[in-house]
Amino acid sequence: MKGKKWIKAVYPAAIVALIYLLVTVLRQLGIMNGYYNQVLMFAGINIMMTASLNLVNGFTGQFCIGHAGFMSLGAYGAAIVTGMLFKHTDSIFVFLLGLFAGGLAAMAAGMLIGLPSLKLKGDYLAIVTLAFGEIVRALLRLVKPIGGARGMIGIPGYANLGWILFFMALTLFLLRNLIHSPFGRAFIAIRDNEVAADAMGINTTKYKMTSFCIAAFIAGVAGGLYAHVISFIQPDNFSFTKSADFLVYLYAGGSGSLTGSVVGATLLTILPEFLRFLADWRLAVYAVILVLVMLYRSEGLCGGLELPFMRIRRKELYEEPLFGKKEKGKEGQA
Amino acid sequence: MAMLEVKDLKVSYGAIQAVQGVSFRLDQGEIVALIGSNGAGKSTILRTISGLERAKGGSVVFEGGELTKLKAHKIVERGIAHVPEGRRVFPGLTVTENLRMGANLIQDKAKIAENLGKVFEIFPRLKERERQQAGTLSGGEQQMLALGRALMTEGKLLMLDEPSMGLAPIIVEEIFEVIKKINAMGTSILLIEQNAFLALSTASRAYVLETGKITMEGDSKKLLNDDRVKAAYLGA
Repeated sequence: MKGKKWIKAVYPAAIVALIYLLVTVLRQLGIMNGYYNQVLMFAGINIMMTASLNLVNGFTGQFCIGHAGFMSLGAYGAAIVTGMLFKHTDSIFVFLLGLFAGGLAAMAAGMLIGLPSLKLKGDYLAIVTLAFGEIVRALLRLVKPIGGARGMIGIPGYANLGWILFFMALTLFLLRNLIHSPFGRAFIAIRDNEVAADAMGINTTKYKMTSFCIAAFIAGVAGGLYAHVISFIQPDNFSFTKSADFLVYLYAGGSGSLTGSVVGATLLTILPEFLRFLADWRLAVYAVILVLVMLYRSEGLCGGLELPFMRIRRKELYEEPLFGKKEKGKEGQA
Repeated sequence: MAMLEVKDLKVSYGAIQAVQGVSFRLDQGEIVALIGSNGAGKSTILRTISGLERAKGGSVVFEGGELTKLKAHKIVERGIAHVPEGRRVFPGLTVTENLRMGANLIQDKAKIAENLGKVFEIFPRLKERERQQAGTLSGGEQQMLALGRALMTEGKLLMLDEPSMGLAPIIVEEIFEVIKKINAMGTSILLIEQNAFLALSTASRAYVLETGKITMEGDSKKLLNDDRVKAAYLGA
């Protein structure tokens, strides 16, 4: 049993490390060029975005459609720290500080719009988050010191595949543990039935807020990484189309499944690149593939499924300590 | 002194006054039923007591404390457990997890385990299905789960909204037996039921609600024999 747990803890990390090694070797051998490398980096960032969106939409049952807004705040927050405040310091710590600042900026915005709007349900919340994404974009265009509509240039290219894989794995690890904690149970209860959750004494506003803020923070960090990959950001990079992309990744992969977020974001980031030989027909074929997925697997590719290491058997978490003792006690008596 | 005292309660949905000045009380250890047809405002009253709906006027006093300004989760803390209409279980969680959701305000783990044992004793069927997802249970089992989950909150007052809805008669009988058992164990019960015969034969006192107002009240045995009640609700 102990050995099994040990393997379970290590092998997701091993997979990530293996991907990194493989890519490095392939690049050394000249089989993989920088372009593929960049596509993989975007896939990693998109996984973070989709998984965090999944926390709100898939596990807490809210409907956020302005996720790119959080990403942009994170990107700008991080870029201001590394590209403006500490422009002349070239250090890993500046990079990490920037990512953290970006995450905090996004989280603060999440709190700001969450407080009044998380009391709303369903469609209303969707409209508020949609408006939020657009307002952020419009405001960023107006701020001259950070480039206004022309955007920010010269952001140091700190982020590489290693960092992105690291943050992606960290995100998935944290989200997995969160979802299988008592907090996660409360999120799922709210998703399944908000009225009943309310009637059971769950402070639904507090839990929705928590879920929303955590998701915003992760999206902010992902935005920070994005800025440091492409080193040039402008408000229009984070338009509603971008938010819609994450929604597509989420629902095509399967909402309510972290594995689904990974599969959806990876496949749909890489797929359009593979389809480049189709030239103008590329997006049409992409759309047809999406329609087919929704027709034949409406719950998403991995809807309702989870890889073994993305799931903590619930028993291990909170049934065993109580029941284990009790059942043993009963056996003793008998 | 009454355990629950509702005075001149008014609730509106927009321009529609669903509850127009309703007063009633419930004493410690009682089963009180609110009966009435569809749209009489029964569910609205329960939802207002448990803070899911806001009152336009009047007061709800529970054990000396005013509830109308409190949020839903604060009201659960005071000791009122609400089983909402239509068996609202959490389909994505297992039976045990659903029950533990009810205990989320209780810190003491030993106490939770003890209560879980009690619930499984009352509903052996739930024990058999403890690892199963709640969404896969039958209607009757889901109602039992909703009841069990409310018991896990350790509420002093249990409010039941149409426990018989959509269930086979034999299951309904079983559920009402359990309701009586729960009451005998010391929990006061406020019951809403369209099936007036069932409600009146379970409760000690009852109130008859018509379009947002109380039109009759009294001992349920007496109401059961009242000609007007018979004509309107018992189909006799």
